[in-house]
Amino acid sequence: MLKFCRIINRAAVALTNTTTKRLNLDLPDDEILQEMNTKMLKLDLPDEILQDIFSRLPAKYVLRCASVCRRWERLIMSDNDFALSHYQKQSCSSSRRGPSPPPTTILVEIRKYHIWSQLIVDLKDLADTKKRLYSFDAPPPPVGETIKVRDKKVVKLCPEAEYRHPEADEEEDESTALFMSFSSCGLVVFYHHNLYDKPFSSYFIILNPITGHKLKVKLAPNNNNNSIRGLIYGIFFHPVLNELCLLLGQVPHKPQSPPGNDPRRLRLRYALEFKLLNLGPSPSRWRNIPTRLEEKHNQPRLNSYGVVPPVVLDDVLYWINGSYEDIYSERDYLTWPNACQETISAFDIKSQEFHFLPHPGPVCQDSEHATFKHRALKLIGRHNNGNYGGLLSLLEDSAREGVFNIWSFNNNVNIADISSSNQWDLWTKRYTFKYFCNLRAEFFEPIALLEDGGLLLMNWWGKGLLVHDMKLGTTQLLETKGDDGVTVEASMCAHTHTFFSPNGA
Amino acid sequence: MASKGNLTLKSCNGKEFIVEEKVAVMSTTIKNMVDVDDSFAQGVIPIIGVDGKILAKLIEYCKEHAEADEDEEVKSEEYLKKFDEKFVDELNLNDLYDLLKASNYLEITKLLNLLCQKVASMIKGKKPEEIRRIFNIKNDFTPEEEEEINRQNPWAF
Repeated sequence: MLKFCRIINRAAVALTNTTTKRLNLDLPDDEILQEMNTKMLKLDLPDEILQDIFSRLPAKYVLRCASVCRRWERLIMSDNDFALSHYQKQSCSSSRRGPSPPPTTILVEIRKYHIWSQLIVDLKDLADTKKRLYSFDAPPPPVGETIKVRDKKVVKLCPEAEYRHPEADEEEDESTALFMSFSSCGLVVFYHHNLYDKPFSSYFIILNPITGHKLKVKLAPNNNNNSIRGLIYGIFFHPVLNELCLLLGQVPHKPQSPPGNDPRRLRLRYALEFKLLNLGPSPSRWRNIPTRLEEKHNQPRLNSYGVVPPVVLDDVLYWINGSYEDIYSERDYLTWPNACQETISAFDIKSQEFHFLPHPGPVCQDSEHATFKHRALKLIGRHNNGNYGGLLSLLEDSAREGVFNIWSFNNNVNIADISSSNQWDLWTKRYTFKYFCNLRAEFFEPIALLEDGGLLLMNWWGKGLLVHDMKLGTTQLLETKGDDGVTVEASMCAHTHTFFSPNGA
Repeated sequence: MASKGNLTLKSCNGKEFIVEEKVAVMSTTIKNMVDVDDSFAQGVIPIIGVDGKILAKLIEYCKEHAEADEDEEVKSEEYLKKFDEKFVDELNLNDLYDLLKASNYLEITKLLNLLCQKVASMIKGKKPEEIRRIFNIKNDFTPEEEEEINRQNPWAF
């Protein structure tokens, strides 16, 4: 009782404070009394208003709301309609053209000495630091400093995933060797590692790391009990079906003995079959998509541990194709006998048609110098800042010139019209910066272009996360270190928090 | 009886307000009523579940915005922004809830956005415990559940 009186007192004090402000409303006293009776609040806002409110908050704070009470948790964690409206609102606030929100986090996977750790780097921390920490243009290359990231956290991202050195336990059950591949729509794709068929796999996990919801995708063996292998090319929101979809390229059933007993050549003999899987609440089933893509245009470009992440822009899914040689020996760029075969494949989500685009620059038409001039192409999504205007962009590591070039695809070009053409001038060079390091030994993988600060993020393989500020021309390096303090190799992907559930839960 | 171009709105506790039609039709719900049935335009429109105090607030808001829509020079965007800020700052929690529900029911989109944004800004940056205190929400998780949630959720903190 005493407690109750105290609460009433407090309520009365609160009321006198507010009524002085609201005198101009000229309210009768009985209404104030009535308000006092209902002062013990009642959070009876309708579900849709609460969800509207949550969708205006960054994912981090929405998550906190989910631990406020059961009702809030239900509204946030198990409603894909809410997930969609949150996704759309977060996109709108950052770029008018949408439709995907910019990455907020870099997921870092470190594997060494059987250590598996994942690091969350909050990108806000990068934008705050404007110190010039690493210089590419002045020899000799200085040693990068380790930056203390305020919000750096080590988490176990995927409970199933435990690193085992692939060569070491070939004989053992490999079901636990799952590797992070890429992240799209807030869902992270892990693939089961297979030494000879990397990154093709028969087993994937699609995980929303913040809600913990996950989907295991297992490709069933065919009639002859041969395992079926494939590769997840992308996850995207389907504007017509209003559902998340997954595009899978599958190695055809028929087994074939590899030439020269090299199992790594096995998959090169096939054109892939493409299938679409709905990740909605309705029972999922695979749908075949007819493709007339030539074989050489559907092999994905590989990076050191997986595929180069696909990019979804304006309802088109893009990925970079590697050449045969690239797939055969992914790091051996300098032994290509032929001209560059890298192209960009585009899957039009609405029409479900495949196209492919020429890559930028005239250099690769010159087969003799292709390997030196143009070492690696990576799609990096749109860049909305200033002159870079919201277009498909691409980073070219031009080893011969010692520069990175950022190219953007010219606006108002219909993908269907230019398919199969060789018009590399559809691209415009937007940004160039020089580097100075051992060209043959260093590898860079672009992770993201951040719109706000004009930051280019790259994984400097075996060194760390390289952050290049395109406005200031400064570069910093976040070293990736294992528990023993030694710099290690890590795979990284840009990630946007969403509340999408891969299994429609 | 409202004169031509004016509408009479009646709150659930019997208070009547005479407002210009352009002010009243900021509410899509009222606009639809008037468009469909001419008798509403002549008589009294009952606003179910909204009391006099909240209705007065709604009208205050709609008046400012209807006038601004009509003549941009009199009320600039900057003026409206300031008005909006002041409007939400002066609300206590009860009024905020009631206005949210009323603007949802009456489909006053601009106001609904403003109020949702206000609540969102009250939540932003707060810990679950603080959020419960501000909005007077009962924690209905068991301690074990709560521990489990926090353990699974390194992303939120």
